[in-house]
Amino acid sequence: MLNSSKSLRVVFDKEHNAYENMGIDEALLYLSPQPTLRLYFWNPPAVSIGYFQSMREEVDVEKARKMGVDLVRRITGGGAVYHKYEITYSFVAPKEMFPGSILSSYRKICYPLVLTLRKLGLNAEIGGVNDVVVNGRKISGSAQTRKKGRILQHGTLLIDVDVDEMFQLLLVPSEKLKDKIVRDVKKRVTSLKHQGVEVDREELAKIMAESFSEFFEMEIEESRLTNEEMELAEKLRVDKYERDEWNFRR
Amino acid sequence: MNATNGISEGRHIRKIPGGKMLKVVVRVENGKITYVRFHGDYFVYPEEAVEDMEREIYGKNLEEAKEIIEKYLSSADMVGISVKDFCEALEEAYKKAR
Repeated sequence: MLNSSKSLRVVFDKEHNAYENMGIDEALLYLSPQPTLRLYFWNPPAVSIGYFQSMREEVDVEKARKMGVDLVRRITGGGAVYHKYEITYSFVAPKEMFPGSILSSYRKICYPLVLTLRKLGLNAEIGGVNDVVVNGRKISGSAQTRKKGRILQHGTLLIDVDVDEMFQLLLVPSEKLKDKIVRDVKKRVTSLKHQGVEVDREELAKIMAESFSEFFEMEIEESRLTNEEMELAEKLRVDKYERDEWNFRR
Repeated sequence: MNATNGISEGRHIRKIPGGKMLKVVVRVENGKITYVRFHGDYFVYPEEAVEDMEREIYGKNLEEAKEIIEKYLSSADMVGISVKDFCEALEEAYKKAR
C-alpha cells in the first residue's frame, strides 16, 4: 500500500530528457504520499543549473545546442551539473522525518550513497555539505529543496566522467585560468569507472535502493509513477521546464 | 566598471571557504541600485527569499540594501553561505560600479 509509513516507495525509472526528469521530481515532491526514491537516467545528455545560477554565465548555450545537450534550471540550489555518465536519484519525504538541521538532513540522505559505494568496495564518505567523496575525490553531489512540509533531494552518482567534455559546455569565471581550473577539477573529481568499478546501471540502481532501505529501516515497495504524478510532470515539462522564461530567468 | 548614460555596472565574484561561489551583478545610477542579482551555487531556504530581497533592493542605496539583505536572510536557512557574504560581495560589486 502506498500510504504505509514503514515502506520506502521505489521507482526504478528509465531514461528521460531533462525537462521530463525535472518535471517528475517536482511532481513527486508535491504528490507522492510517502517516502519515495526514484532512480533515473538522462537522454539526451543535459546540463542542469542551480536555482540561483545564471544560465548564460554557467553554460556555453550555443555549444550545448550544437552538441544536442538539453539545458534546464533545477528547483534546487547548488551548481551546474553535466548529466551524461551517471545514475541520478531523487528522494522525497515529509519534513518530520528529518527533525534536525538542514545540513544534517543532507548528510542523512547522502549516507545511503556512501553505503552503496562501500558495497562496491570503495572508500567512501560524506565530503563538504552535499557531496560524497571516494579517497577524497568527489563522486556525487546533491541538492535539496523544501516545499509545503516536504523535502526533495536529488543528486548524481558518477559512473564515468569526462572533464574535458564537461568544460566544452561549462563556462569558467576566467578564460585565462581555464586550463588550471580543468586540471584542478580532474584532480578533485572521480567516477566508478575511474575507481575501477564496472557495474551494470540497473544493478547499481538496485544496490542504491537497498542502501536507502537499510539506512532508513524501511521495506522497499516497488512502484510506478501514478497517473496523477505523470500528468503533473507533463504539465510542469510543458509549462515550466521547457520554457526559456524558467531556464533563463536569472 | 562599465558606464553608459550614467548607469554603471559592477560585478564581483566571492569564493566562500567551503567551496561555494557568489556572483553579484549590480547596476548603479546616481548612487541608487537599479538592478541586482545574487547568482551562485549556494543554498537558501526558502529560495524565494533571495528574489524578494533582490526586488526590494531596487532604488535603494548601499546601506539600505545591506539592511534589506539582513532583514530577508537573517530568518532564512542557509547552507554554505552567510549574510555577511551577501553584504560584502554586494559592497565590492557596488564599489566597482561607481
